[in-house]
Amino acid sequence: MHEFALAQDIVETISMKVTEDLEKVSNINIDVGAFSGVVVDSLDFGLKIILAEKNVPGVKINIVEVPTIARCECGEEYEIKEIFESCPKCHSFDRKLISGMDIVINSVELVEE
Amino acid sequence: MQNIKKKIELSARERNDLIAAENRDFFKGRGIFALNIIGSPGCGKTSILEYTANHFNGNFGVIVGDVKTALDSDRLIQSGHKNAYAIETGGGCHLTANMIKEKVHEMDVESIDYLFIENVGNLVCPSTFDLGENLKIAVLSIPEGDEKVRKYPALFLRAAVVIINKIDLLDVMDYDIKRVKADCLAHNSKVKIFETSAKTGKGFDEWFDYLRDQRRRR
Repeated sequence: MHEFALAQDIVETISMKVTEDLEKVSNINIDVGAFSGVVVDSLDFGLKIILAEKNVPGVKINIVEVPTIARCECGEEYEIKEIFESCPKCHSFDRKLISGMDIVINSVELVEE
Repeated sequence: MQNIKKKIELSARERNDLIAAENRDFFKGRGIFALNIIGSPGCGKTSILEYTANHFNGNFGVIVGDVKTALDSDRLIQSGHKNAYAIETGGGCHLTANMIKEKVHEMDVESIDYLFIENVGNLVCPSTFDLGENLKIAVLSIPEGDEKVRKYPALFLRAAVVIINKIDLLDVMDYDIKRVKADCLAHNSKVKIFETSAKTGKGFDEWFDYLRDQRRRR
């Protein structure tokens, strides 16, 4: 249910940090971490509704799912698809998740006159 | 006409996170230790709050988020805790940093050492919104069953503390507590686990000591 709130924040962030004139935006490229807690289809749906509401329904939304990477205390880095996958090298669960937890607005493509 | 690609690499949570950082600075400047309590509806979040508020007495502030009503904050006020405030989200499934920022300015913060923020009862959305807290705390309870950790990984990957509440019911329910603890540790090997009963008081002394110690460390 929180995807719509995130979609609103994404559009606001683009208005504030990239361009207030959303008509210039052709593509929005978003990276969604596998363990970010976000449903990609719902985020896509939310963004489409908000962009249509802002009268820029033609903006293309590209959402890419990025893997979650853990760094084990033994130094090994590995991708986690399921929580109960321990380190392939030493089988420990002592790890830090170093990517794939967040939703990142990677880039915005603009058409300039 | 030319197409320009602007790399921005900003978190979609940027707007929330900036306000969360402001909240964190605000709390730090006033020596307030803030906790974000997340758990299912009915797991005992408010009972844990009440029990903890009774112990820490005056220097304790509470913000309670619910979709509707101020029942929980009313309950705390009736039991003598004046510094209890409600946020009615009106349908929203989680609290945001901005809601906390606005509410904190209504509170008497000068007398507070601890701020308990009880999030909307939900194991999904609240887990990924930073409110500016010092600790994110997940509350489980025995009657919910022993599979919650596996079913809601987003919360248990992020929670620094897990409280297993209603522990007095362990003997009468089929609840594999060993499995629950192992699941918590698989999600976060550094997690601190407490077993409490807000009915009998079991486990609370350890919890109070932990809170005092954590506040001292900040």
